[in-house]
Amino acid sequence: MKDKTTNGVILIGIIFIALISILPFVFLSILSFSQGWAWPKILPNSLSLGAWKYVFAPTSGTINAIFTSLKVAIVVTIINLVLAIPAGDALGRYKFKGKKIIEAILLMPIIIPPIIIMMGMHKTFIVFNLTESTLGVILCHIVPTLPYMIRAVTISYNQLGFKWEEQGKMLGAGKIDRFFNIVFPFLIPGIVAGSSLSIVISLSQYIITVLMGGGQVVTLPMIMFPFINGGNQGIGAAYSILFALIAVIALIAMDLLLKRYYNDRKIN
Amino acid sequence: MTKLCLEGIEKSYIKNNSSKNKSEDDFRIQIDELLINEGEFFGIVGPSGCGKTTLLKIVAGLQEINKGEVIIDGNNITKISAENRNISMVFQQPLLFPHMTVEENVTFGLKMKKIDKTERKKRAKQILESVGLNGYLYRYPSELSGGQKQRVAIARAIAYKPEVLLMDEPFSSLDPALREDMRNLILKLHSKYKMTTIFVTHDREDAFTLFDRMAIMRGGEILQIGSPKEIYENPLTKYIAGFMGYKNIFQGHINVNEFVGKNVKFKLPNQNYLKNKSIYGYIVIPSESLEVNLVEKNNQNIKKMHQIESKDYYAFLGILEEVNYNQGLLYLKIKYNSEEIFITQKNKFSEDLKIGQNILVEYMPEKIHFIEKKVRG
Ligand SMILES: Nc1ncnc2c1ncn2[C@@H]1O[C@H](COP(=O)(O)OP(=O)(O)OP(=O)(O)O)[C@@H](O)[C@H]1O
Ligand SMILES: [Mg+2]
Repeated sequence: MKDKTTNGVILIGIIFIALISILPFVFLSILSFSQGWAWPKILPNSLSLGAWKYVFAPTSGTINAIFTSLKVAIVVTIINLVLAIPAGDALGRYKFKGKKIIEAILLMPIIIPPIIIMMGMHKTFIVFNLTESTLGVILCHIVPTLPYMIRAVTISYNQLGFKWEEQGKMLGAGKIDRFFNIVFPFLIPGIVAGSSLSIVISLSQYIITVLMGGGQVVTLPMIMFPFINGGNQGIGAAYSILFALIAVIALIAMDLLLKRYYNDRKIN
Repeated sequence: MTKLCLEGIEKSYIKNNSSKNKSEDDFRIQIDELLINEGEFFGIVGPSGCGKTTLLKIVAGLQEINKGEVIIDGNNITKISAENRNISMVFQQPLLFPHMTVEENVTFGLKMKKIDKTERKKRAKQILESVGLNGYLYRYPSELSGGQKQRVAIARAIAYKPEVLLMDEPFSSLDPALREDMRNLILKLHSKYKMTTIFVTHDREDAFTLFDRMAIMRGGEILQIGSPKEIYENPLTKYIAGFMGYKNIFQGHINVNEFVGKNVKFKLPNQNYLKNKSIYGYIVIPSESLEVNLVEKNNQNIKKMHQIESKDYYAFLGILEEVNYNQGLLYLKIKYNSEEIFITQKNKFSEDLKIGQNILVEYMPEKIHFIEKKVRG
């Protein structure tokens, strides 16, 4: 009896959460296909493909923006990975003086709004001529994303400990062999988690991109924002849906890629 | 021929949480000399926390040392890193790489040695057959039982063809029936592949069945080295005697023809070398060297009591406290004055023994072992 009631409660909870997360998309979908839909009407006057046509028109630059966004997100994630693996190793498995302080500094960008850090970076980047360049934007996106990646990889390393590598040493595996054959497979769940956050956060950066890119590096949020912010709401809705789709596809693709790496190891 | 030699090894762990009162909490391992022969099955036994794992890790190169040298085949390998020592180790847990099949696990070491794939596959097959796991090549570790996992771990270590094979309580997580199987398997593998092996355990049965020689450790030091039989028959200290399973250990003086303890007395054959002096220490009486032949029935035993006093009849009177029948053997606990004495013997009584009965216990004085207590300076 008790089980049934708890199951019921869980079911209701799941339905509730699903509704909350699906409902906005339902509205957005209707909005993107409608013409003149305003409060208090329950349904729009008429349906139209106008918004979507605009979004995919060559003049809108949407496709380029998508590629720029993805390029930035992927490069940011790869750089994060390269930085987070040694950092996560140090933080997850070793004790050293000042570890707490370093941990706090590394997590700072999550707590302090990145815009504040960005102000300082902007000045420096002008000196190195990095503003208004994709590289500059990429470097800036590292600030809000790296802490999540480090956190995730740190936890993986912490759970891993030293025993597996000790076993590897006892079978003659040097450092590089140990990393790729033994350590990396154990890190994959953490890397998937960290990379997902890194990609999603990078994709959704707006202010940082505007500030550092100076309007020269056009990512999806940059062409989307004016429409949401008071322009054509139908187009804004279409962009929102597109953005969500791209984020989901990017996440699934990354997950598959890493899992495939893992499975290939399993088979050969 | 000596295969492995440890010389003047010293290692202490500094526990960083209590840095103030150091020397007290710190663990320190110190080994003056340990020589292990080619092809030998060498055991290390001792209580928990005595440094057995640490010692293996020192040999393996997984643990740095403060002082001393590790030598294999005459080459000093102290400075060589673990992965280049060609030493293999089986840990307490199987530690099979979960993302690799049994075959990949077993051949991992060979792959690291850059042995080609067909040769690796061949060897994996052979080795798995010798641990009784043919047909398991393509399974993943998650599809194996605990015992099978440990077999694969052993196969993996042997396939590597190490100079020295180290095993750190590899059976401790297995149930007793399985342990016996594994013991037999290990013996079979050892006689087949003849690798020099160091095996850590705190199971006495492991020690007697497996080891050519063994070292008894306590508190980071080696107390005695010898074959299990030698150590059993001639334990150097009371502690070792207890560790080897002796239960009848008494403290007292040994005189020319008797041992006098606090509550007990045993007649001994003439210890002429003592020349009227007495030495202080312990006697150890193996429980299997004692025998109950006579239990009190009516007045029967009184006759024998006269005999007790006679010069070369070795016996004492006691009261039966506990009886256990176990697989044809009798385990008896007897009260002799106020001391407890344990006896293991064949059951030759037609009637059940009764607790509280007076009994006559005969002993073999030549089986009694002395340990002189040395005053430590
Ligand atoms: N990395 C370490 N740092 C500090 N102290 C340690 C470390 N490893 C072991 N010790 C201490 O060293 C002592 C010996 O440990 P070791 O693991 O060698 O014991 P053991 O004989 O293998 O015990 P067991 O039979 O329980 O496995 C213990 O007191 C332990 O607390
Ligand atoms: Mg141990």
